[in-house]
Amino acid sequence: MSKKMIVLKSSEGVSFVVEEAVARQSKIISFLVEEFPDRELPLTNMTSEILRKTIEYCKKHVVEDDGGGDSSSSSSGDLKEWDVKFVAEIDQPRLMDLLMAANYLDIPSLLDVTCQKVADTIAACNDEKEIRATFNIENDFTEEEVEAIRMENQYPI
Amino acid sequence: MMKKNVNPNSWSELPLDLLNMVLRRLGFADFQRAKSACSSWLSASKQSVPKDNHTPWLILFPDDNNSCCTFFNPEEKESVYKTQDTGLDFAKSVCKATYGNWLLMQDIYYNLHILNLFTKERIILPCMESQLGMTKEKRTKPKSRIVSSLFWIDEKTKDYVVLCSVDSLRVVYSKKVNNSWNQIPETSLCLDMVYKDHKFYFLNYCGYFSIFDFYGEIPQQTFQRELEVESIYSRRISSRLSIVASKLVATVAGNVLMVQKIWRSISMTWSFLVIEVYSSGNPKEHQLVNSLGNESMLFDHGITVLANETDGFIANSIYFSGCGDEKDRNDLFRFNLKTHKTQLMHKFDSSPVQFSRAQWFLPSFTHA
Repeated sequence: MSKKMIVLKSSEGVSFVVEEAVARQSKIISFLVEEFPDRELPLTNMTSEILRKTIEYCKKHVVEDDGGGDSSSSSSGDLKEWDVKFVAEIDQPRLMDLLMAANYLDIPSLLDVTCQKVADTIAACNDEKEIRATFNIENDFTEEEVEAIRMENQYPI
Repeated sequence: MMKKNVNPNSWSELPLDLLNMVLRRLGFADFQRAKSACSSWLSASKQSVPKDNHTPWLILFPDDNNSCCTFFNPEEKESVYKTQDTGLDFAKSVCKATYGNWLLMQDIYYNLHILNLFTKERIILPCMESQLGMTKEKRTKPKSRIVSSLFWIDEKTKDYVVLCSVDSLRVVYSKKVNNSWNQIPETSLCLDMVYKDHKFYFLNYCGYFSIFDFYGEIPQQTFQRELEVESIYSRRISSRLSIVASKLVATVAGNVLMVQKIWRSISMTWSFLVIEVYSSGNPKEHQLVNSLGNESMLFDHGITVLANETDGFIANSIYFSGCGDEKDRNDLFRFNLKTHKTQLMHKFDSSPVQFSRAQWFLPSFTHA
């Protein structure tokens, strides 16, 4: 029995043919597939690059349901290791796109690993200057605001 | 979704809800740094709280009429934090114990209450003197004295248990449900006590150890034994060796340890003797413990936590603060059970703050 395939289209108009089970890890795609069967699904706000990455993640995480006993393709330890490597290879701007894609497509586990990666990156910074440099953030505080934050140091705020 | 702005790759543009998901995963110090990055991150930080950690903070009580407390987070040496007005007069009341964000406070009239430092919620405890048949006449110097105390409170239901050793003669307890003080039998000469997961662990000066179950209405004694140890209370054993403190420690796995902090005056070093006094698997044995495995012990709090690299805890180590009268009383140390080496973790420089009383506590931020 051949697996059911669906077509996802990136913002550049590139089509990706994906097994339905793989794509259904996205709650949004799952919903769309039921509403519009046998149709190409245009994902106009996702670049091919990010869509490819997202599909790569979903392929690894799909629980293969072949009717066999061992359904999961990898052990959870292996999968975790793979996830770490997966997010480590992504540069900072792509990470933001991927994080937003995970949120948009509603893929909880991908959202979790990308958020954690961002948190870990922040934690690795020594001060707010390094955070700004790492995340390409402009310091938009006025002198007074900087002073206010420094003086604040009160909890709860 | 990914609209191109002036600076398309700037993380300032990350939507607020996603930023919140990230910020919630940060520890307190990283959270403070992140919110200082830019205005959009600052506004996101107002909708979330940092994750809880297990690193104790030092709370400093003011000496004057000031009703604000100051915190020192060992992870951020450069900052101290102030609470809002707690409504307490710290010149006239003392903190007897802490649990999470809660303080057990005693005023000059020996009335007790529990206070949440951050929300200012206050729970007035029943009057102990009238309950235990003591007179209230000499209020400035009551006949009974609370030698030591501890408490537990559930953040959600506000169920609580407060336990006090009174005059070293007995331990009394008060629970939310009965709103009175009741005595626990056979609890004289209290040396140390620990309350964890509805179980009360008690050790006295003679080496008598017992466990009470607090699940039901009335505490039930479920276990007792005499510890066969040479010396249990603080004293000088020889010219070179003194026991500084003996404490009970409840472990993550539900076992109980008796831990002795020992000072060697020749080498000027600390060491620790760890004995398992109760093990759920093998309750009658007691044996020397050489390793805490993947746990770290917070000696002053009488608990162990799972060592977690992200929280900065090192497995098989004992974290403890310096001693009462010494200069180092507010410094934090780590003793490695394998190498027997002690490391100074954080030296507390008190110069910016005037205080004479301080206590370590474990903050919790997820109450909001």
